[in-house]
Amino acid sequence: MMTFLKKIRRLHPTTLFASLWLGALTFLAIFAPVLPFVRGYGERVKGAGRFKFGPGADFLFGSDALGRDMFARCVYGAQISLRVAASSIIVGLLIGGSLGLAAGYLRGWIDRVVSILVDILLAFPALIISILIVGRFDVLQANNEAFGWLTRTWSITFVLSLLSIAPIARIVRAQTLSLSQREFVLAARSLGAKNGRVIFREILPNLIPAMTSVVFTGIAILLVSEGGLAFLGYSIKPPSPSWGLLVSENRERLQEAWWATIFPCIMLFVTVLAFNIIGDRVARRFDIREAAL
Amino acid sequence: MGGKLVVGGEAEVANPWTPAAIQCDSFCQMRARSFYDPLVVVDENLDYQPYLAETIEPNADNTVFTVTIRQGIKFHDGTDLDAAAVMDNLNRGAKGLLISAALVDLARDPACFAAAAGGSVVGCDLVMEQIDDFTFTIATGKAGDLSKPLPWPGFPYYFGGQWGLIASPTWLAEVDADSTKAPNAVGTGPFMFDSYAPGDKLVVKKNPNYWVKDAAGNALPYLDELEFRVIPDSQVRAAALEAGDLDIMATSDAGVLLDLKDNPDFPTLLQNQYGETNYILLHLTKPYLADQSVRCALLQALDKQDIIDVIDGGNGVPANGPFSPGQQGFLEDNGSLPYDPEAAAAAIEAWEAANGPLTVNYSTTTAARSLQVAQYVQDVWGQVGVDVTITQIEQSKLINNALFGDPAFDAFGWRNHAGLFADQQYYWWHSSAALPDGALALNFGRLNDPQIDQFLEEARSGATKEDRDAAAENLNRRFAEGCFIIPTSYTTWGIVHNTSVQGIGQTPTPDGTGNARDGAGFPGQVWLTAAFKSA
Amino acid sequence: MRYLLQRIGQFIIVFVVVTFVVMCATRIGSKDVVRDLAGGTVGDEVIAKVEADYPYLDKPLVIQYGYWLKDMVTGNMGYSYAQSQSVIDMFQQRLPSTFFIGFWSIFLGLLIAVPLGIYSAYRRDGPVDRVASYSSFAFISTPPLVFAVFLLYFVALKIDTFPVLSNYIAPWDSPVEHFKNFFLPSLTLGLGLAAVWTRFLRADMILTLQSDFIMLARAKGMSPRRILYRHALRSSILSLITSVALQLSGLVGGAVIAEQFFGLAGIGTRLVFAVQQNDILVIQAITAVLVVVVVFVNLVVDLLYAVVDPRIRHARALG
Repeated sequence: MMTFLKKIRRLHPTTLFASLWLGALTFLAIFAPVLPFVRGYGERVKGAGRFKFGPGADFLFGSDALGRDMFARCVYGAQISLRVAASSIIVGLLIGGSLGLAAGYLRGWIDRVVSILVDILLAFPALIISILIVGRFDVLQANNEAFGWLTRTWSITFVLSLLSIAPIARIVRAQTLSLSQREFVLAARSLGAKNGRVIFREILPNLIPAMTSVVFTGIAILLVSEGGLAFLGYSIKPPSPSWGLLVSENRERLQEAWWATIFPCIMLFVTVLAFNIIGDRVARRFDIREAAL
Repeated sequence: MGGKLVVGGEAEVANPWTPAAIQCDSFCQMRARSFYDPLVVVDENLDYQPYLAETIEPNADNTVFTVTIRQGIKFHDGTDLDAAAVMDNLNRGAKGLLISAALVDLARDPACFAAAAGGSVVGCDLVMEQIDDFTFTIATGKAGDLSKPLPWPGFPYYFGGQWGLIASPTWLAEVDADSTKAPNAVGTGPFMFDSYAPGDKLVVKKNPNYWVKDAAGNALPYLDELEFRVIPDSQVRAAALEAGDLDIMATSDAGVLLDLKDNPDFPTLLQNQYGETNYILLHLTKPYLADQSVRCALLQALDKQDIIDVIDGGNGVPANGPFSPGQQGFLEDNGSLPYDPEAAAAAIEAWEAANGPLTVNYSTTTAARSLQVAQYVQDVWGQVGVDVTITQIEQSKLINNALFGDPAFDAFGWRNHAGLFADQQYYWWHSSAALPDGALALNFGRLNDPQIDQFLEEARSGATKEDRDAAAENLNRRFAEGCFIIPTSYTTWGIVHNTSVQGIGQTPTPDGTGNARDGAGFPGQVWLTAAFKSA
Repeated sequence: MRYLLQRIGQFIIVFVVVTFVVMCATRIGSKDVVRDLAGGTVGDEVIAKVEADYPYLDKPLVIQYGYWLKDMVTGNMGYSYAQSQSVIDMFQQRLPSTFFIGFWSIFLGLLIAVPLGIYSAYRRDGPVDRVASYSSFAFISTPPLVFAVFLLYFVALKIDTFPVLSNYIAPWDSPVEHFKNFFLPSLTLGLGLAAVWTRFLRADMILTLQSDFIMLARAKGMSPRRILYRHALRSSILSLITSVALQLSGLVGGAVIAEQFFGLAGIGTRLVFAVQQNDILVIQAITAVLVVVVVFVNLVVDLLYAVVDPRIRHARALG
C-alpha cells in the first residue's frame, strides 16, 4: 500500500489528473444506470423545459430544451462515445497491427503491398468517406430487410475502425522494423527459432508499450472524429446523447443557455486531453519512435 | 428610399426557378414573387383581384372562365405579356408532375383524354381557347373530362398561387433547350434576377420598368436590391438579425417569436390567420398506420398543451384538426379525441399482441426545434409501447421523400394547410392525388377515404357558400374521427425586421383600391414590392 | 528522375483507387441511380435528359468509372440537377470560402508556431517554453468543434465587429471585411495547427541546436538571432513543410465544421448536403479535387526533400 502511494506521488501531476478523470468517467459511464444522482438521459423533468435551469444543485449541468438533465446526458454521452471509440481502436489495432507487424517483420513484397495499401487508405479524405459510408449504410438499412441490423452503432464503428487501420499499421511497422534489428531477435533467429515463435515471444511483448500509447492517443483522435460526425448528424441517432450531438442540438441557444453547449464541449475536451496525456506519457516513458514523417 | 434589403429564410428550394418545377415553400414563394407576378392577388376582403390579369369572368355556373390579360406589360427580357404567354405557362404547370395534381378538375384536350383511357392525363393540354391577343378561356372538367364540366367557384384563387406565376415564354423555351438556364428567372416582377448561389444567396435588382405604380403615381419598387439568404437554423437567423447581418426574416419558431416579442428594436409582423397547422403526417399505406386504432392511439398519447409548454414556453395554441381559427371549416369542437395515455397504451398493446412490436420511423427537418419535438414524441410514444427512431433530413429531401412515398417514411414532423378555403386543400387529401408509393403524389399520406373525397368535392363545387362552408366543417369532423393526421399546434409565422424597414405588407392592388394580402393569404412570406428603408 | 516517375505513378494509382471506391460507395443501397442523379422530384423530361447525358448508368461500375474519368480529364465535372448548377460553377461559387479558411488557418498556425517554436527551443524549459508546451498540448486536444463553440460564444456573440453569420467577401474587394468574416473560422483551425507545429518545431530545433555546425557558428560569435533564423530554422523548414502537407487532409474536416458554425457557404457544407441528396457527381468531383490537391502537395514536398537532401531521399525510399 505504501509503495503504491509512493508511486502515485511520483507521478507527474498531469498524469495523475488524467488518470483520475478517465477513471471517474469510466466509473460513471458503467454505473450510470444505478447511480442515484444520475437521472435517465431521456427523462424529462416537469418545468425544466426550455433550458429553465442553469447549472445548480439540482441540475449539475443545467437542463435542456425538453427539461432533461444535461449532466446525465453528458455521462451517458461518455458511455456512447467511449464505447464506439474503444471498439473501433481495438478493431483498428487488430487489423492495422497485424498488417504493420507482417510488413515490418517479413519485409519483401508483403511490405510493399502493405505500404501501398496504407498510402491509399491515408489518401482517403477522412470526413468525406465517413459521412458517405454512414449515409449510404443508412439508406441500405432502410431499404433492405437483410440489412436491418446495420444500425448507426455498426456503421460508425466500421468507419472509425477503417480510418484507424492505416495510421496504426504505420506505427506498428516502424516499431517492428526497429525491433527486428535488435540483438535479442537476431539471437533468437540464429538459434533457429521459427518466425511465429519470434513474433510471439520476442516482438509482440516489446510492441505492447507502443500499442498502449497508440490505443490511448488513437481513442483521443477517434473521440474528436466521432464528435465531429455527431455534430453533422452522422453518429448514433437521437436520443442517444453523444457529445457532438449535444453540441449540435443545443448550439442554437448558445447565448441564452450556454451550459447546454459548453458542458459537452468541456467533457469532450478534457476527455480527449486525458487520453492524449496518458498516450503521450507512455510513449515518452518507453521512448517510442514514431513513424517517419 | 432605395437601398438594399437582406432577407433571411429557412430553406433552399429544389429545382429552381421555373414556376412549373419549383417545390415552393414560403421562402421560395417570397423569392419567386420578387421576380414573377401572379395572375391574381387576394385583397383585404378575401376576394381575388386580378393582377397580371385584367378581368376574370366566370360563366353562369362557374365551369368556364374568361381571362383577359393586361396590355402593355413586358417581361424582363423584352418579350410581351399576352394571352399566348400566359397559356404557355398554364399548360406547362398543368403538364408538370408537381402542380398537375392540383389541377385535376380542369378539362384536358378530348383526344388526348380519350387516348389516356383512364390512365394519367398529366401529359395532355388544358382546354383553353384563345379569343384574341389578350383574352382566352379555360374550362373545367371532372378528372379532366371536358364532357363533365365541374362548377368551381374558387378556381380563380389558384391563379394566385405557384401555378399563376408567369414567366417569359422565350426564356422557358431556352430552358427547354438548355436546362442550365433554369435558375436565371425571367418574369414581369418588381425585381429582376441578378445572381443565384444555391444554398447561399439569391440577389435580385430593381426592375426600372415595373408596371405597377403606388397610389401617388410613383414607380415601384422603391428598393434597389434584395438579397435573400438561406439560414436553416432559426436561432442563427435571429442572431443574425440582431447583429445587423439581416434586415428582415421570416420565422415560424414560436420560441424565437416569444423572445423577440417585446423587443422595440425588432418589430414583429405576426401572421396568425389562415395559417398552417403543425402536425404529424402519417404514411397511411403502412399496415400499422392504415389501422385507425393505432393512429388514434398515437394521437391520444400526445398532450398537445404540454408540447407547447415544454418546447415553446407556452406560446402557442393546441390544434384539433387541419383547420386553424379563421379558416373555412374551423370548429372549436370537431370531436377530436382527448389526451388519454392509458387508452393509447391499451390500444397499442392490443395491436402488438396481434401483430408484433410496433416501430415507427419518424423523420423531420434538421432544425433544432424539429429535433426537440421529435425527441418529445419519441419519449411519449415510447411510454405507450411504440419504438420510435428519429431521422433528420434536410427539408427539400424530406419533401421529396413524402412526395414519392419513400418506404422509410412512416411519420413526418410536418406543417401545412394554410390557405383561405378548404378547396385549396383538395389535392393534399383527395384520393385522386394519392398515387402509389414510388410515384409522385401531392397527397403525401396517400389518404384514400370516400367521405373525405365527397366533402372535398362539395367544398369545391357546392352551389352556395353555406354548402361549401358546411362541407369544410364535415371535412374537419371526418379528420378528427379518422385520426388521419395528428395535429399538435397552429403555426404562427412572424416577419421580424429592424426598424429601418418600412412598407411591408402594403403591396397595392393595381386598381389602387387597397392592399394585396401577402402570399395571397398564405403566411410565412411578405411581399417587398412597396417596401423601403428609412434612414 | 526515376523517383519522380515512381511517385507520379503512385499518385495516379492512389487517385484512381480512391475515386473509384468513392464512386462505388455512392451506389451502395441506391435503388435508382438515374433518379438520384436527377435530384428526386422531377418530371420525365428531366429523367430523360439525365439518361441522355449519362447513357452509361446501367453498365458495369468499372465502365461508368471510365466515362467519369474521361469527363473529368476533359474538364466536364458534371452537373448537379438537384440544385440546377454545374459542378464547375459550384466550385467557383464555393471554393474561395473554403480555400481562404484553409489558407488563413495555415497562415495563422505558422505565424504563431514559428516564432514560438524557435523561442521555446532556444530558451528551453524557460517560462515561455513551459506555457507554450502546456497550451500546445491542450490545444492539440481541442477538437475544432470545441474551438468553434468557444469562439462563437466568447467572441462573435459578444463583440459586434465579428459577424455571427459570415459572408464571403474577397480580400481584394475589402480587406477589412474579409478579415472580419474569416478571422474566427480560421482561428478555429489555426490554433490547433499552431499547437502541432509549435511542438514539432521545438523538438526539431532542439536537435538541430545541438549539432556541430551550430556550435561552430556560436564559436564564431554569430548573434543568436542569426543562428536561429538563418541556420537552425533552415534545416527544420523542410520537415515543417512536410508537416503542413500532412495536415492538409485533416483540414477538410475542420473546414466543414468552421463553415457550419460561421455560416460560410463553402465546399464542406455543399459536400454534406450532397451526401444527403446522393448528388453523385458533386461528391465524386469534390473528392477528386481534394485527393488531387492533397496528394499533389505531398508529392511536391517529397520531391523537394529528395532534391535537397539525397540522404533523406534514400532513407525515405527505404521506409
